Amino acid sequence: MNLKKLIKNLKADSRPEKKYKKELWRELDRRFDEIYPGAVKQFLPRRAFVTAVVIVLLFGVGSGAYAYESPEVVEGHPLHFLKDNIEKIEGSIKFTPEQRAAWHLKMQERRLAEGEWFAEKNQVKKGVFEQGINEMHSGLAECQKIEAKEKRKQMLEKLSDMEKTQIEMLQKIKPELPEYSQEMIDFMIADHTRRLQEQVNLLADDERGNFAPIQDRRFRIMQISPPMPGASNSAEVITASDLGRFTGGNVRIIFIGN
Amino acid sequence: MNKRDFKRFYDKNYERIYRFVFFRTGADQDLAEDLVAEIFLKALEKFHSYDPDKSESAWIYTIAKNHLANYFRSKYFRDVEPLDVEVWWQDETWRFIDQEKDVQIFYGMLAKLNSKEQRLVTLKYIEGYNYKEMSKIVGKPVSALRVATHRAIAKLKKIAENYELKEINQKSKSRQPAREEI
Repeated sequence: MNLKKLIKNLKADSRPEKKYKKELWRELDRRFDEIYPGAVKQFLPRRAFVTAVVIVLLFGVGSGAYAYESPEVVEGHPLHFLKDNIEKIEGSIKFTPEQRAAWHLKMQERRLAEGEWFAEKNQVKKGVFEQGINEMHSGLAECQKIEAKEKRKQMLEKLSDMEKTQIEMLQKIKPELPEYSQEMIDFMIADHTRRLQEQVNLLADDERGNFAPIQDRRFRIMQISPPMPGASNSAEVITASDLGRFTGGNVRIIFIGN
Repeated sequence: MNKRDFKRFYDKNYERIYRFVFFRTGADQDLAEDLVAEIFLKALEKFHSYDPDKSESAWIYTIAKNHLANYFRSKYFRDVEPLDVEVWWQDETWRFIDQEKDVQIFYGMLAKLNSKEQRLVTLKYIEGYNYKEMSKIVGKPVSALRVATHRAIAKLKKIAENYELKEINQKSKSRQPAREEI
């Protein structure tokens, strides 16, 4: 008598039917909901909590920390999604206009650092500058919502200081860049100047901080110039009609530059 | 406490508990299914008190033992202890088995082991528990269980060899008269 074979046969003969197992589970499943009616609801937040902890851990270590800290991680980099998500999470826990304005300011500072890092390598990441400029506008919009006048003024001062830093940085790197990159920056600044002026006009005189002299300087250096000969209407070249629109009709033709 | 945990628990233990009940109810499939359903319903009602870190499979095994003891008490109107249930096939149950030859042979050989050895062999080789789980069920260290189980299965192997020899002898004896006739 082969014992191994005997046990094997025995186990095969005593195997329960799968169909019955399924039926019994269906019954237990139904009873579970009756006995523990809140269990499913309790389960979901716990799962969400576990997921959140995993995300935090994931972002808190290794590649997440690297992505967040490194200025070279910008759009197009494989780790950019990590950086983007961490920043979004960070932004999602800012609840007051003051906190949100401060967060936009911080984001602008980060974009600036990224732009500078690439500029040192004679590269221009257009998206980085655009994002930085958008952060400035979002920060200004949040500032308008701050009710406490003193706090609003303080935040506006910080934002205008940041604007000043941004201009200084762009002026520093611009001469080192190829001509087409310089033109691209000019185009961005022209658009930014127009948008910024709309917001600055809404501020009280004592709240304008560095914005007023910066904007004045920008408009001062804008020279009346005929459209560039042979220039097509591309992103790099600003046509007279475009520039007229950017400035809201105050200046007919603008050329941004030193 | 959630349904997913209970499902995992059910999937892990269903087959073992079914086999445990099946071999103690005279290999009666319908009866085994009914009892297993009752056992898991009991387990579901008490599942909030189940701690997998402490008891793993021992918890449901104890429920099954107690439930079977209750069943036999009500069936035979006599006092049955849960411990009796573990070796129940020795007397009352296996005499009802007449349809499964392998089961009869196995029980016949198993009956030659003592109750502790029977328990170890069935836990390990029929119900499929590992030594860690057996340790929780039996309440003995893993190393001691491993040695004891090996001894028990070695003993059973010898019994099986003897059984085989007996079978061969019986067959050869049954052939001899036929030769004489020729």
